[in-house]
Amino acid sequence: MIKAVMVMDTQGQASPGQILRLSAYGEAAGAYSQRLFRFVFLIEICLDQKRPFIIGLFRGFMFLCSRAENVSNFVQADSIFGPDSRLVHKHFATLYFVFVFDSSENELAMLDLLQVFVETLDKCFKNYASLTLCSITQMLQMLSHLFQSLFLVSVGSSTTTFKSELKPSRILNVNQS
Amino acid sequence: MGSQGGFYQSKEFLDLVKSIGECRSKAEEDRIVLNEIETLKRRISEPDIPKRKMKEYIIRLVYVEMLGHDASFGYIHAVKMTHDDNLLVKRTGYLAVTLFLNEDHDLIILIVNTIQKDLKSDNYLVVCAALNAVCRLINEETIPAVLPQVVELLGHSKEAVRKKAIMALHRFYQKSPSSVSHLVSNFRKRLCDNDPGVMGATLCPLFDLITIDVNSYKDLVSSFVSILKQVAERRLPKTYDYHQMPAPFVQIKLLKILALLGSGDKHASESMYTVVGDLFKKCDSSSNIGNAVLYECICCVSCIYPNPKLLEAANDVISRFLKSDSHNLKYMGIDALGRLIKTNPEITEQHQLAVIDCLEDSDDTLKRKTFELLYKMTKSSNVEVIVDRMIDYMISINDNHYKTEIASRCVELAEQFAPSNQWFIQTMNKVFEHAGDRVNIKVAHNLMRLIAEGFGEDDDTADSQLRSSAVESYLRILSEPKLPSVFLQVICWVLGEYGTADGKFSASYITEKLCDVAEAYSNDETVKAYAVTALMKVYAFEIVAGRNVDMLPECQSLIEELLVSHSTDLQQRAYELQAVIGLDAHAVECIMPSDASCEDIEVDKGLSFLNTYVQGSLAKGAQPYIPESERSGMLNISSSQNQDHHEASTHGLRFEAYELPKPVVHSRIPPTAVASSSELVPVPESLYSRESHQVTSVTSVSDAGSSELKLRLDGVQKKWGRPTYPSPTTTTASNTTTQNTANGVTQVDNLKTRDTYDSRKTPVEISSEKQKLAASLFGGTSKTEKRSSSGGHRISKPAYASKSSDDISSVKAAPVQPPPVQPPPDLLDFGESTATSSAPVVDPFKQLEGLLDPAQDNSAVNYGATAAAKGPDILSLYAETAAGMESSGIAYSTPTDRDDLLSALSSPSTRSVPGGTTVTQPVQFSKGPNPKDSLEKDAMVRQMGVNPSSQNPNLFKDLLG
Repeated sequence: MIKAVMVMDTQGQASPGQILRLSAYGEAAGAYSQRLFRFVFLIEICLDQKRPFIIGLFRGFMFLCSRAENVSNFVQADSIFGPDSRLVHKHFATLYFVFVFDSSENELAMLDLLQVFVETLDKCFKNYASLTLCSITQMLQMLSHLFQSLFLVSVGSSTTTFKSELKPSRILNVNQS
Repeated sequence: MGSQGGFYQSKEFLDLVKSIGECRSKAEEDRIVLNEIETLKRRISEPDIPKRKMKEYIIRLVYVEMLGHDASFGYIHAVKMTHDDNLLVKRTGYLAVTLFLNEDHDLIILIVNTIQKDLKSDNYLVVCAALNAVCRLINEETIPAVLPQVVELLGHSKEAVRKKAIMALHRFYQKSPSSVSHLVSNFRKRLCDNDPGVMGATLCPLFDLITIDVNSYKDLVSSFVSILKQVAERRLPKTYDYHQMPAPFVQIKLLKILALLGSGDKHASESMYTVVGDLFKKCDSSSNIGNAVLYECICCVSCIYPNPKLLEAANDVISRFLKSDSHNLKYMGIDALGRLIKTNPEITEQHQLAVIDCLEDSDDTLKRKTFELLYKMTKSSNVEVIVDRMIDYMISINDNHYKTEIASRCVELAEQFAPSNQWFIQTMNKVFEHAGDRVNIKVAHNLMRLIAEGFGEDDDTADSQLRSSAVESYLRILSEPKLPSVFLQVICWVLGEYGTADGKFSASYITEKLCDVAEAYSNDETVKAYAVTALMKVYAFEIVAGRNVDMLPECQSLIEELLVSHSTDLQQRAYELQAVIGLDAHAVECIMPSDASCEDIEVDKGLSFLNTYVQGSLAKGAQPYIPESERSGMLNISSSQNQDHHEASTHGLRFEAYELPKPVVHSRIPPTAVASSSELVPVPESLYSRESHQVTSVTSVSDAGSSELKLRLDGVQKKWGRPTYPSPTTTTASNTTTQNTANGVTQVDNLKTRDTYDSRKTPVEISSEKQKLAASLFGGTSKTEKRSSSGGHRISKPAYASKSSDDISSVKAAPVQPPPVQPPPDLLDFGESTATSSAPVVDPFKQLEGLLDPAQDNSAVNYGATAAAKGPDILSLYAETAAGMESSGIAYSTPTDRDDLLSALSSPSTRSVPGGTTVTQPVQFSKGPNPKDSLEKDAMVRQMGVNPSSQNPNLFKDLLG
C-alpha cells in the first residue's frame, strides 16, 4: 500500500538549512500528526522541529538530493521511513515527487502512477511547477479527487480505473457544478 | 487558468497567497499567517455572512491549517457548511471537514447526521461527497449509523456511486472487519458489475480478503481468470487504456490475486497458465507500464504451481530486463530473479554476468538488491565468495542502518553455511573488525564458544590448530589502531584462554599484548575487565605448568592502577589476579583448569551436589539461606551501589555512545563479594537486577570445572610502584613471521595480510575477476542440476544461438583451463606463506584475460547454443575436479576462486554449522553477589576450619568473592 505521497521543492537543495516546502499525504503521517498530514498539505519544515516524520521527510529529501543522476528511481527507504518502506522518486522541473509504499506494491507500476499523477496535475494546471496563487485551492480540490480516485484515499492502495476518473475537465466540472 | 482564478477568491486571499509565496523567512511567514488568523477570527463570527464569502473564509482556513497553524476556531463553521443546500458550498464544507477533522474528533458526531441525510440524496454528486466523507471520517463506533445506507448504495444506478460505496465498505472492513463480515458477499457480487471501474474497485477489498483466507475464494479463480483475459483482449472501453495498455492496474491487481490463489494449488494454477502465458506475449515491453505488468506476471509465475513454459517465458523477460540500460528494469530483473530462485534455483546461472554487473554498478539501490539476491541464493558452495563480497561492501558504506543489516546477514550466512570453523572465525573477525559495534553481542559469544568447543569432535589436534590460528590472527589484528569493543572482548578472551596453549607464544608476550590492550582502550571498562581476566588466566596457566611467573613491569603497573580503579569491578579483578598469583600450583589448577571454558556451561540449577553440605551445615545449626528477594534491606544497599558504579563508569570518555556494555559485564564480570581493605562498606556490588542475581548466584556454586573462579583473599596484598613509564607499543613486525604451520594458519595469514597490506593483493584484471566471481557464485551449484539445465537451454533457447564460435571457445577455455592448473600449486603451497600460494593462482587468469574479453563484452549472450553444447563438458570438468578434491578429503567447492581455494584447502570438509544454535554462552558466570549470605557462610566455614586450599573451590569462590 501507499504510505505517503510527497512533493518537494528543490529549493531546499540550494539551502537545505532553510525552509523546505513540501506536500505530503498519507498514512505515515498519522504517526506524526493526525491533524497536519491527514490530507494533502503544503507544509513547511524547519530543521529545529524534532518531529520524527518531519525528520524522515527531511532526510528523505537530503537523500534524494544526494542521489546521482542516471540511477534507478527506486530506493529502499527502511532507514528513512521505517521497516518495509520503499520509495519511488522522480524529478520534474523544480519539484521532486516521491511515493512511499511498502513491499506489496509493484515498483514499476508506482513509477507509472507517479507519472500519471504528474501528468494530470500538469493538464489541470499549466506550469503548476511554479504554482501560481490562483490555483492553490483548485489544486487542493483536485488533489483530493486525485487521491480519492488514484489511491482510494482511505484505502491507500493503488486502484485501477484512474484513466476515466482522471479526465481533468471532468474533475474540475464536478468541482464547479 | 487565470480566467478561472478569480471564480471564488477575493483579492484579499490572492494577496495573502502571494505574500506567503514571496516570504523569505519562516518568521515573516508566521507573522503573516497569524495576522490572517486574527482577521479570520473576527470576520468569521460576524452575523449574516453571504455563503460565497463564507466559503472563501473556509478555504482560507484550510490554507492557514496547511501552513501548520491552528485553525480550530473555524472547524464548526466548516461543519455548518456541510448542511448547506448549495452543492458547491456543501462540497467545500465536506472538503474542509475531511481536512480539518480526524475520525475521533468531537465534531464528528455533528456530521454523521448530515452524512446520513446526504447519502439518501437524489443528486448523485451529493451522495458522492457524502461517501468521500464517510471514507475519511467514520470511525468504528459510527459505522453502524451509515452502514445500511452504504450497502444500499451498492445498487445505485450511477457507477461512480457504486464504486465509492465499495471503497467505503472496504474502509469499514479495514477499520473493523467484524462490522462488515456479513457483507463480504457484496464484494463478490460487485465483481460482476457492468462497469469496469466498479469491478476494479472491488479487486482491492477482495485482495485483502483473499490474503487472509485463500481457501474460501478458490471458486473465484475462474472469474478472475476470465476478467484478466477480457482485459488483456482489450474488451474494456478505450478510456481505460493507459499508454496503449488496457487497464494495466487492473491487470496487476488481478495477477496479484491469482498469485495468492494459485500458490501451492496445482489445479487452480493450471487454469491460469493460458492467460498468464498470453500476457507474456501481449505485454508491450517498450513502455514502463508494460514492464510493470510483465514483472507482475513473473511474480505470479513464481508463486503459482510451476509450469516450465511460463518459467521459460519469465526467464526471457528477466534477461530482457537485465540487458536493459535502464537501472529501473535491471532492478526489477534482479528482484524477479530473487523470486524465481525459489522454484528454479539454476535460473541465475544464465544471468550470472548480468548479476555481477549489477553488483558492481554504481547505483546503490541496485547493488543492495543484488546483495539481497545473493543472500537468497547462498549455498554452502558459494557462501565464501558471497560473504566476502558482502563484507567488502559493508566496509565501503557509511549508512549505519544498512551496515547493521548486512553485517547481520553475513553472520547469519556464515553461521548457516560455513564450510569450516576456520573460515567462520575468519569471517567473524572481519565482521567484528568493521562493524563490531553493530553486531549483536551474542555473535561474539557464539564465536568464543566455537573457538572453545572446536569441532565438537574428538579431533583434538584440529581443535588446537584452530585455536592457535585464532590466537595468531588476533595477535596480528591487535596491532590495528582502533578496534570495536566487542571484538576486543573476544580477542582478550581467546588470548587468555588459548594464548599460551600451544606454547608458541610466551606468556610474557601474550601478557604484554593484553596490557597494551588495557592501556590503549583504557576508557572501555569492559575491555579492560576482559584483559585483566585474561591476564589472570595466562598467569594461572603458567603457575599450573610450573613455570615461574614473571610479571612484566607494565603489567604490574596496570594492576597497580586497577587496584585503585573507580570501577569496583576492575578493582576486584585486579585483586583476584594478585590473589591467584600468590597461590600454589595445585590451588591454581583447581580454580583455573586449562581449557575448561566449555565444561561449565551446564548449570545445575538445583545445586543438588551441595545438598549434603547444606544439610550438614543446617544440622550443625547454620541459618538457612534466605533468597535475595526476601531481604529488602540488602536491596537498598545494592541499588545505591548501583549508582556508584554508574558514576564510576561514566568517568571515562566513552566513544561508543550507544553501546551499553551491560550484558557483557553481566555475564563476564563477577560482582564483588568481598570488599578490598580500601573499601568502606564491605558490601558486594550488585550491579544488576534481581533476576541476574539469581542466575549468578546459582552458577556461582555450581561451576565446579570453571576455569574462571574468582578467588579473593583478604590477606593478600602486594605493593608495586606507580606506573611511570609507558608500556611498549605493539609492533607489527612480530606478527608477520608466524605463518607456515598448520593448514589453518595459511588462511589466517592470507586474510590478514590482505587486510593489512593492500598492496599485496593487486586486483586482477576486471574481466577475469568477473568471470571468476561468476564461476564461484554460480558454478558451485550442484552438478546434476547444471547438466540438465544447460541441456534444456539448447533446446528451448534458440534466441541465443547466434553466437560466434570465438566467444564460445573463449567461454569454454576459461573454465576448462583453470582446474588443472590451479589446484596443484595450491595443494603444494598451502602450507607456505601467502605470497607464494596466491601467485600461481592468479597467473592462469592473467593468461586467460585476453580470451575472456569478448565474452565479457556481450555478457548476456554468453550462453549460446554451442556454448550450451560445450557447457556440460566444462561443467563436468568442474564436477570432476570438485569430486576429486572432495575425495581427497578437502572441501573444494569452487575451484576458480582463489580465496575459496585457500579457505577450502585449509580445513577438512567438516560441514558442522558452527553458530546456528543459540546455546548458552561460553562465558563463565561467576559467583553470587550475596554479601550477607557469603559472610554468613564465610563465618560458618571458618568455624568449621576449612581453608581456601581445600577441595571445594566453588564454596570458596562464593565465600571469598
